[in-house]
Amino acid sequence: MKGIVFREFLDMVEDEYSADLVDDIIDDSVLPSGGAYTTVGTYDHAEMGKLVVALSKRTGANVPDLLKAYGRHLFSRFFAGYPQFFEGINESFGFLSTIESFIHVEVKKLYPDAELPAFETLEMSPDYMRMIYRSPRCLGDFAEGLMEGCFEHYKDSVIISRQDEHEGRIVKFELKKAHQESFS
Amino acid sequence: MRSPDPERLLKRLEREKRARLEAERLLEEKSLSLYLANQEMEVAHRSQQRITEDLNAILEKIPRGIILTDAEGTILKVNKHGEKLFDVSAEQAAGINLKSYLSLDDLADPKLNEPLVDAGDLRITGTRADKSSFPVELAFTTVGEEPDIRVLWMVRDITLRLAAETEQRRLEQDLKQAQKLESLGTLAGGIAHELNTPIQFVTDNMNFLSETVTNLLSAIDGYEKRLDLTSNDSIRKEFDIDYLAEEAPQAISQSLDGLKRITDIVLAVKKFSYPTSSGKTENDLNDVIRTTATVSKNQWKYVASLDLDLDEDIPSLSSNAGELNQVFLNLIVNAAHAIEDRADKATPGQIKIQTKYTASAIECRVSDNGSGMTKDIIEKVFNPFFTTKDPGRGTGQGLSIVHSIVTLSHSGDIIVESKVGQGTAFVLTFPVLSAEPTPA
Repeated sequence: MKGIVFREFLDMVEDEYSADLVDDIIDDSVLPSGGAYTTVGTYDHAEMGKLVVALSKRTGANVPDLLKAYGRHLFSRFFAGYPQFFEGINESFGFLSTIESFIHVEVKKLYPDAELPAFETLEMSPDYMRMIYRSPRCLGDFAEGLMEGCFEHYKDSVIISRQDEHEGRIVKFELKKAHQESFS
Repeated sequence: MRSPDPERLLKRLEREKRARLEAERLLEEKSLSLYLANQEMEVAHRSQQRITEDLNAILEKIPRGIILTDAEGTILKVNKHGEKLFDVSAEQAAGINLKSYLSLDDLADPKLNEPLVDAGDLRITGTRADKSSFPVELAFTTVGEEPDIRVLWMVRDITLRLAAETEQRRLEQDLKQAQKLESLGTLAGGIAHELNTPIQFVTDNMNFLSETVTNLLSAIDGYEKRLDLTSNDSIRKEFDIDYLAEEAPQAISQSLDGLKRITDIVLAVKKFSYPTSSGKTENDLNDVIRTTATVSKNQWKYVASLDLDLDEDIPSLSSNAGELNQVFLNLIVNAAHAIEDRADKATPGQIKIQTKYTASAIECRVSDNGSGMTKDIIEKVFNPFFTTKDPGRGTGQGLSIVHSIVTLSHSGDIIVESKVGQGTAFVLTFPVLSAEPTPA
């Protein structure tokens, strides 16, 4: 897993809680890297699991909620750091459909050793979309958080339904845009 | 505000140091990787540049117009040969649809949208910038993938090839015709040879009969005188001796005249069919002319008279009699055709052949009062395959062959004089090596 994911996670913890909590969860996790991450480095993804579990223990928040929160946070960071991936896209489904076909392709060019999840679009219409997430790291919650960040960014109201399979290695997402009814 | 725990600060500092060292290591690793990649790219770039140069050289030197268009046929690039073919610069052609230069509508279902379809060689029409057209052979293939499909067109001007193919077909036809004529000549020669013997004994018998009839009539007269019979004798009347005495010698004489003409024709056909040698021998040009006039009589007798004004003092000519036969046959047949084609049908057609000896050469003039030729036609009249005759009446080879035989085979000369509506004369000059004329 790329170092940027760890750095952003620790930044979020520091922003949302405190720098001390960052020290604490690093100490609690006993990490091979010692928690010394650089954005361009590559680290064992298991360290992320340990950090999230440690954060959960320290804060009492459950792991899925923490991963979703981190997904939402990371999406906003992606938008700030890589605006070129968002050019010409004005709604959430359009952006999600480019992840596999464009963004991951570009990331691979920059980081050939990056291990990316598959994020395939099965069906898409203006108001409805079906996607499938595949990853041995079982980070469906994190993916859902990224989706939520995307919907917030584009101000789309979307109802997310998901079905986890194979112990979370495969997650099927069904996304429906909720139409806002106006009363005059 | 609570002051930071020094122990925590030291841990954070240590983490940041390790992160920085890791970042520096990664930076160094990445720099080295970029350096090596750059080296590889430079090698690849040089190789690519070389390939591009080679391909450009091939494209520019290949004797085919190479045109690149988009899928709609809009011209993107044209090589040097393409510029030359269509008489247009690549800059001028860019952006114009290829249909302005090629009759692509003649192509049946070119399937431009299918990648890697080679339509093979097709023959259509090309149009130059000045709107003149020319035949082309076309091949094309699509390159690239959707949505950036382009079409590579290869064009070859086949004007010369078509002309060569046409000439080849004409030569083949002429060869067939020549072979047929040669067979006919051999056959005619054989028939003439076979006719010669019966004509000979028929002529001998007719001469014998002529003499016999004369003797018989003299005998009858003698017996009548001895028997003192009058001209009113019943036997003389019964057998109509007076009539026989008047008509029989005349009939025999006419038959002998006919046989003489048959003999002349057979002899002429024999001479025409079997020239004495394929090489040169001493020949009497007048004799050659007479022979040819006889053989070709069927060609001219319905449209003209043929007058021979032959100088009997011309020397013999070292020549190929077979070739000279062909020369005079072509000239006589051409003259007959010219008379047939003239507008003035009232004036009798006339072909005249004159020979005369002038110091060191024999001059022969073959003239007619036919349709004549314009200056434009006169200039081309000896060109191979040039003809003004309808198909099947002439191949355009006759006068070309005449010119070749006279000038190349016999070191002579031939000129043409002609006026439209008045007639044409061909003047042939054959040099004679011997200074003294030798009567033939």
